[in-house]
Amino acid sequence: MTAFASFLFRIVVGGIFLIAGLAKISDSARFLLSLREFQLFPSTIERFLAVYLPWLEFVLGFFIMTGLLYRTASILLAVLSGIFTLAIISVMARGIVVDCGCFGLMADILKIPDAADIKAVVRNLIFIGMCVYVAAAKKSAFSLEGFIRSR
Amino acid sequence: MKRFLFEMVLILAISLFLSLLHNAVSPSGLRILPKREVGGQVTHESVSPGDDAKTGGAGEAPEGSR
Repeated sequence: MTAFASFLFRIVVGGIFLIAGLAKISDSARFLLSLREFQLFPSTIERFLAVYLPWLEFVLGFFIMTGLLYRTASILLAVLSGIFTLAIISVMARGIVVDCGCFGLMADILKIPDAADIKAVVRNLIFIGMCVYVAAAKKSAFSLEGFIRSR
Repeated sequence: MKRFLFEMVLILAISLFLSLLHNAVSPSGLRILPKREVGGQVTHESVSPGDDAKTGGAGEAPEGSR
């Protein structure tokens, strides 16, 4: 049961971040604009993050979905989601109304609400919970890591 | 712990490699370095044509050239 729940969470969290990463990779200029609205970093760091973060999300999502290095990837994803949550809380505290840029182009295509508000915080906390579960679970069904070890 | 650190560095490095590779080969890639010296003058590099249009930023044409 634990293994199947872990597999289910891997597919959900991994899939969401894989797609969100791809959407941002395809339009990194838009993601850069979202980052600028947060007013957290100097310009050079914003540019670097706009290039790096979408690929990090994509790679983490890929590893979690396939079940390769999934424990480490899910811990990293939990930390990343925690940082995103703190960033959203910081703009809420400063009274800045911005799009969180979480889903990039996908937000427009699928009409997903993408504002940096309390809903985004709750959503991120759910992702963190799922990631912690995946990292803590003793076994995960249908993982590439398990398959390699069994051979 | 050692294994976790190794895997963490591996994942971060793979992401960094892919992001820099994609940024280098993509025609609409962002320029990570903000400034570049061209012909003795320091100029700002554009983020991308789309970004410049939205922000009115570094890549805008100079006043007299319109």
